[in-house]
Amino acid sequence: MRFLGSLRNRLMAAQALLLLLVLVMALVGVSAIGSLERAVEQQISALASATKLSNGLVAGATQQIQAAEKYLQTPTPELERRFLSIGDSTHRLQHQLRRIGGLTAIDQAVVNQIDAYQSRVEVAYALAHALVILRRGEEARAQAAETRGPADSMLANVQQLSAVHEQRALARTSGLKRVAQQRRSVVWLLFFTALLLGLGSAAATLRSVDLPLHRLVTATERMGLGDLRPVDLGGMPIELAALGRSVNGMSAKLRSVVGSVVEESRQLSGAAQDYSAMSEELAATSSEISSAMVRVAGTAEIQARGLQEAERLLGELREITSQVTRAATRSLSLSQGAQAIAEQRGADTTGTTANLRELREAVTSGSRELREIDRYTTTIHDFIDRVRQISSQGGVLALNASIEASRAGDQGHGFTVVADEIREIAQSSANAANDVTRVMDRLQEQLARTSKALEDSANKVMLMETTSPGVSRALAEITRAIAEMQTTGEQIAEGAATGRRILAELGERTGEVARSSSEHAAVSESVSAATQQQTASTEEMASVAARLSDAAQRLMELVREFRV
Amino acid sequence: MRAPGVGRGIILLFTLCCIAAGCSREKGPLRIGLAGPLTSPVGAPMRLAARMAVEEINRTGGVRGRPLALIERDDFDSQDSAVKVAANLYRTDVVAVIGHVSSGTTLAAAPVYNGGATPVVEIAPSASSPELTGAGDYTFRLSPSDAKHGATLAEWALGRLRTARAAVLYLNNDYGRGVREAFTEKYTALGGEVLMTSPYLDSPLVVGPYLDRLVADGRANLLVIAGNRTDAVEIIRQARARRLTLPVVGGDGLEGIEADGPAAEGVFLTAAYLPDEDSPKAREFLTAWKRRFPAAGNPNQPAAATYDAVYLLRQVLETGGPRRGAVRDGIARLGNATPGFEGVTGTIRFDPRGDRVDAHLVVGRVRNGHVEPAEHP
Repeated sequence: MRFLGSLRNRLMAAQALLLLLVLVMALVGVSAIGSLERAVEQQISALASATKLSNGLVAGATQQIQAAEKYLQTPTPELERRFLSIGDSTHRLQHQLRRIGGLTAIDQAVVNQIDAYQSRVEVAYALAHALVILRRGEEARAQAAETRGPADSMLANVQQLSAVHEQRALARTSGLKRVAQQRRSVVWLLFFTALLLGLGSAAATLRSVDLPLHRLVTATERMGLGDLRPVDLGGMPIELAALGRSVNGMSAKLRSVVGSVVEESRQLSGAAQDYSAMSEELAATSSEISSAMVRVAGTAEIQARGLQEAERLLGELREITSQVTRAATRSLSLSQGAQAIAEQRGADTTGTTANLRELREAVTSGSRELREIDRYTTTIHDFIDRVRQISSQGGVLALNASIEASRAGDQGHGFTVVADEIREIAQSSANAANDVTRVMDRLQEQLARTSKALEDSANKVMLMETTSPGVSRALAEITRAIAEMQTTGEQIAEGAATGRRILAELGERTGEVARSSSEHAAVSESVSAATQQQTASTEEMASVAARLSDAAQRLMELVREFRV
Repeated sequence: MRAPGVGRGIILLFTLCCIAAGCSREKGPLRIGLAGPLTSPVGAPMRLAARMAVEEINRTGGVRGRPLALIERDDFDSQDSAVKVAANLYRTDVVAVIGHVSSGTTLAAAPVYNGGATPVVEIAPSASSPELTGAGDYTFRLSPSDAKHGATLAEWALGRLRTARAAVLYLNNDYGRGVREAFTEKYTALGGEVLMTSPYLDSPLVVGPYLDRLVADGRANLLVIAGNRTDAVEIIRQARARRLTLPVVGGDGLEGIEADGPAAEGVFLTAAYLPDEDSPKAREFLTAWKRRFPAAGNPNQPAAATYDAVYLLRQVLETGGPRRGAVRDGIARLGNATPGFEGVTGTIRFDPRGDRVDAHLVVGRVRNGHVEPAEHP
């Protein structure tokens, strides 16, 4: 049965069976025809020999009787020999007749009877002949007459034998007909058996191909619809079983692939959700950073504007200081002129009073402008405080941004760098502001001292004016006062120069602060822009993560359709 | 599971049947048919010889442990009876048939033995008709053919008796005609002249006119009687009554004539066996015969040949088994593939036509109620 497991072997076996049946059919047909031929030939030859022998017997007996009768008339040795030889040949015919196949015991008996009758006839005639030779005519005739009974019986037997042969031939002919019919039926039976077997084997083969094939096709269709359960290979021919095994192998592989895809999708989905959450968080922090940055940028702008204002104020301060310097220089030259006049002309007090008035005005104006400078420096001081405060805020913001950036991971790395930079700028901005404060303190101190000196000069001038009648006395006083004034003027000039130097340094520092502030603002803007961009990209990332999550979800749903 | 069970059952049943059949076949006696005129003077010694041989063989354990059994059927020397007897024996499970005695009955029965699906061997102990040569693959004979008897007679008559003018009286049956034809052919060939050839019937036996004619003619110097012993005695009586003194010769059909009194005295006859033959086997046989059948007189040729046939069958059955075809093949191989069988009647071997090769034949003469070799007349 194992042999028939293969479709090829099954087909071969079916064909071999058919061929065998056809061969058997042909052989049976041929043998039937052959045996019929032989039987017919045998029958015909037996009939022919029997007929020939029977005829020979009849002819022999007749001829022998004729010869015997003739001998009775004219006894010659020739006739005697003839009589004998005919008798012998007739007996031989009887032997031949006995040897013909298919004689029944009755036939044999009939032949023996014929032989016996012939022997009696021969003996009777032989005796008659002897009597004829002995010239005993009456006895011879009587003896010859005795032959009639046996001769008639013999001929009757021969005829009977012929009739029996004829009947037998007829019987055998009908027998042959029967045999032929039987053979024909056998051949037909074989033919129909072969036909049925052929059809049966064809149907069986077809069935054995069709059913498993249908199973395979169904399984493949099922597989197409996602049902990856293996095909049942029971009772399949070897070839189709091999095909089925391939399909099963394929489905097994597909199963494992789908399994891993399901697992991956699950993980991907989780990751996407995590990613999405993280992105949202990142987006939130980014927007926070962005708003912080916007705020940083705003403060930086304010700082920059303030600094510009400060610079402008410092410019004005410088202008005033230079006017002070110029005024000091002029007062110095005026006092020198006054001293020379006092020394050379001493009398011209009017001109001196006028010069004193002029001097008092100049000193008063210088003092007033110094107070204004002091007011300005206070304003600048306030402003520097504000700058320091802003820098401190920037640093805190940068720290926050850095923390947020570190939470954002790799995405926030660049941001951290920017935040660090911001922090550095804020630090340098704070340092610069401290420097400015320090300088401003020194300046204020210097200005206070200058202002006090100027107020002292003005008081002395007013005193000189009030004491003009005592000019002469006063001249010495004046000369001493002028010398003092000269010293004070020199001090003022020195203080003004120092003030101008400090102011220049202040201007420089303020410019530095302003530059750093505007740089700060620019960096803040770029950070803000970057943050906005990052926010945008984070949002995009979030949407991508959402899309990814959706895709993973869809994938999982798709894979869920596969039945593993 | 059902089919193998059924198949096993069938096989078991078949095996049991085979064993049962085999048992019955293996244990039962081997049957040998004996056919002939068993109650006639010619046939009776044959029956005695067959019984003696079977008794001897069964005393020594039979064939392959199975005894032999004789199925005796009397054909009354009639061809019709012979055919019936043959058909009867054919149907029984005999392994071979010894018979018949005369050529006519043997010839009549031969088609029966040689026909059918399971032909059976027919060993004719004494049939001598030339017609029997090639009668069938299953027909063998132990005696020389009539041709041999006739030819021997012709040679002897011309050579020893020196009688060249013969008158032939023949029994008008296959045997008589066979001897007559063989004799006439040889005799005329050797220069003898057959003056008269006349048939007779044993019943009624009418030969007077022939003898009268011989007397009237007076030329014949030899009377050949191609017939049986009883016919011959009667013919001789009638001849002597007519003062015909010419020597009388005959074939093996005259065997036993020595017991028929004065009429038989001086008759020459050919024989395949003579009790006085000088060979160890012949002497043993004669001694056994006389001890077993003291009142039966001497065994004749059919008796000796039948005795040989039984022992020959034993040898063939021992070597080839009891199947009819095997028995036939075993006999056909004697003297060809296998050595010839040494029997009372000499070495037995067959030619392809079932005739015995170099059949032993002697001419005897009846003298004082005995047949003695007549080599020197």
